[in-house]
Amino acid sequence: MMTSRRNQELALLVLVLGISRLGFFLVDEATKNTAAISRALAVGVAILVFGGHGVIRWLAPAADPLIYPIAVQLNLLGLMMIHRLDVADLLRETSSSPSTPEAASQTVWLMLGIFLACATLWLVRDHRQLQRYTFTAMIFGFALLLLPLLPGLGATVNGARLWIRFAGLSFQPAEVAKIALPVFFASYLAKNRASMTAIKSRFLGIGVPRAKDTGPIVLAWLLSLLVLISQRDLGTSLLFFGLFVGLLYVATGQRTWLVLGAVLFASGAYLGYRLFGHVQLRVMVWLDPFSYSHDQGYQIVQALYGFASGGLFGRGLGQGFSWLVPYAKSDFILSAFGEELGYVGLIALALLFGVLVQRALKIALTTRDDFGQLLAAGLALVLGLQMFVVFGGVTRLIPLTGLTTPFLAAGGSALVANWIMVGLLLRISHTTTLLNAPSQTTTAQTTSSSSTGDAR
Amino acid sequence: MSEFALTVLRLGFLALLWILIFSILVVMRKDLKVGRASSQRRDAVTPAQKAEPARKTKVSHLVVITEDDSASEYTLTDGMVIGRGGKSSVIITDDYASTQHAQLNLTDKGWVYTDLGSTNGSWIDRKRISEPVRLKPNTEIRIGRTVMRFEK
Repeated sequence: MMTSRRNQELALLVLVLGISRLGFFLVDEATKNTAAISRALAVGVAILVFGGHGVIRWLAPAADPLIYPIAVQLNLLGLMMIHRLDVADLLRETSSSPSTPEAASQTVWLMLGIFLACATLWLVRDHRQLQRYTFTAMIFGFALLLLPLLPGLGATVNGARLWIRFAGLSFQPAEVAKIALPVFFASYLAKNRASMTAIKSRFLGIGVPRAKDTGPIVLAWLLSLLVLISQRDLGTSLLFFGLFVGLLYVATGQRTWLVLGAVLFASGAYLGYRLFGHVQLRVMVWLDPFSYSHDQGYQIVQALYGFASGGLFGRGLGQGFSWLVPYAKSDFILSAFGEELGYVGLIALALLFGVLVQRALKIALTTRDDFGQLLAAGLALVLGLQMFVVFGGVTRLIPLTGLTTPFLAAGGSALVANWIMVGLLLRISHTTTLLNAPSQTTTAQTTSSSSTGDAR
Repeated sequence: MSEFALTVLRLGFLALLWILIFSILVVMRKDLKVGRASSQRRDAVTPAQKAEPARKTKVSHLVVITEDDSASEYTLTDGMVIGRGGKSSVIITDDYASTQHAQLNLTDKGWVYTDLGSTNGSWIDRKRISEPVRLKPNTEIRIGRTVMRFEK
């Protein structure tokens, strides 16, 4: 059964690499790009991807067969689109504004990412050992969130203070907090789920939690408000609060927490709206982008034009005008996909993300220990929430908030963090499958009887 | 490359993306099959299992069927503990199970099931038990929402 899982993974990887190769080929054909970078990338990436597969065979043979190929596919599609936009930049290059190709550096980050996913598998032999680091994870996570506030270290880019610069390198610490905080929340809630489940009385069919149990949710709310106020970062603030409330619900099964979370979120959002000009601006542009189509709404309006011109099947890779959208390589990479691959391509992307989240949730459902359950659910929530906020933002379903598109967008910190998450999910999945399998002596019997069950 | 060939490849790319998604769905479908196989086994518990010829081995087994219909089989050892964690060797993830819920002991009269003073109790053949019970083959034991079958 384990080998069949890994063989399924291998077959999917071959398909994934084929699709990516065709994508790069189409970009180069359509843009008449002759630079050899694509071919060099293809060989390097293929070696790396199969190397990662080999490591999974060695260290986590019973892990889920879909997570790795989907992550690779998303990452390579992102790389392909970044390469496509690099080519567009190169064509429009002038001596006054030289273009900066990002596909090469993204590839380096991809390599580092797969390497770190493998390192995670090697270092973390059983996910339960992470539970020992509850408070380390907490301090680490919160410190990373607040690190950009330190004077001299933090840097403000486009109005949000999210970056730290150190020795010429810039890094977004909140991306790494996306791993540390699920670990902390999961182990905290695994220990305290019993008391949080207790409900004092009911009001309108909704349980009222005991006053002393509301402490953590209020703390999480205050912390996310602090992030919002100090770093002017809507997305990160929303993500962490959503993650905490979501996990609280998963841990306790009490809808109360969802209701309380929604109320706190609504009041926080209203507060933010009243207090901050940049929040008001986001809402105004969301409600009526075309009035601002030359200034603050330019980006979203160009993205909407892109989606419109892409239509059902897209204009074809390398044949659109996707570079017209500012930050097309990072925040708005989905609009480039929408324009060049169309609705059909964009839905395929959304489904790939959907399956990734479903796999993480499935791991959460089958895992036996509370910590593993909550950690897998937390990672699913981080991925799912980011996807919802990004897809919703660029398609104008919800106001635009700055969150990275996992795996697709250009940006090293996020990519590395996402790959570590893949490593953790593979680890939990492997441990779970082994623990759920019948004990050693009866393995042969059970597998034979379940396969006859299939045949019947 | 001609305009036509480019268009064909462009649509081919989209088609391949969807072929990938359908391949993923095929792999996911196998999950469901495993679930179905184990629930068939559960349906077959009473009549079919009795008709089945006795196992050649003298080892006794415990088949644990969890809420989500996944079944796993354990070989019994003397003094084995069933529960949610702690020293339990048969781990069941059921909110109604205690950390160390029950114990199985091999006596000269056969296997005996003892509830270790659990919060929510154990049911054997649909009756809540208050004292140790000697297990007969194909006895159904229930803890919370988890069903176990004792097999000689």
